[in-house]
Amino acid sequence: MDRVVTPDRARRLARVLISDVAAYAGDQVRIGLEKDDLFERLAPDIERARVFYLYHVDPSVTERARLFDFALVDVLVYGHRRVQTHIW
Amino acid sequence: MRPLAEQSYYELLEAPAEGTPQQIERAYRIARATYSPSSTATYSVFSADESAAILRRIEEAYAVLSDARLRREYDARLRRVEPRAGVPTVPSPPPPAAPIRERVPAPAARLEAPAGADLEGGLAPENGVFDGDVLRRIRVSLGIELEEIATTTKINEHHLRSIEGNRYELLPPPVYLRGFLKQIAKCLSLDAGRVADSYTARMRESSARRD
Repeated sequence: MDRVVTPDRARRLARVLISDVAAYAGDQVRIGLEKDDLFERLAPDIERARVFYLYHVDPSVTERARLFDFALVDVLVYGHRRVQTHIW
Repeated sequence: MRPLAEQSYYELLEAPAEGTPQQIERAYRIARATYSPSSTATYSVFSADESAAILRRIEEAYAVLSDARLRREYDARLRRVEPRAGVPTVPSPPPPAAPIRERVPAPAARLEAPAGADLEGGLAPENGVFDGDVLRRIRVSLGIELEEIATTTKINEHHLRSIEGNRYELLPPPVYLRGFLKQIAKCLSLDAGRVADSYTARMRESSARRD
């Protein structure tokens, strides 16, 4: 895979990786939101995705790490905003 | 072979002038891999500067040919230019509507796969085998979400996850599976027949080992 050197591609890669975490986690996203332990529950998968992301995205990409964190919240939390939970 | 600047975009990508978007995409990826500085096929043939110039032109070609409107305009211009003996027939490219990188949604991945680590997998499967893991790596390299494949192909995400996870016991009967694999391959601009053959062969091997 080519080195990612633009924010757009970095953002895209982050979204794909996190949406894969969600897709393969099945019910764990819903349960994690309900019990308010989503990030602990999915920690190994998220960490694996983060390592992959940082490995392929060039450090010169502006806000490289934050792009990943944005995707994390956007896909895992906002993407499941209809889940009934006390955290919102 | 004509000089680079005189080749049409189709010649440059070695894509048929009537090629489908999938064929253009595939030709683009092959061209990029062939002319990348790390390509074993061309590293001793072109200098770094020459490689960079060729890659710029390949990106330019793809930006035009992957956009339906720009491609139509380019084709029209290509037809209008009267060919004369020994004179190139390349029209000037239409101005891109936006910077190339902004309009090329998927990252182009190299065809050559670095050996070993899971994290470094390229597009071409080692041993030429397309298993679920390889298909997933290719999808991620291209920046395509599983949900997008499900939406495009109308294949249930559950089946897609089973295919990528090599969960053979959860897969539908082979006749349906082949159809699914071909659709997935098309989304990833891969050779549909080859992917289906390779995946089902691997599945049969795995079943035979289990029995």
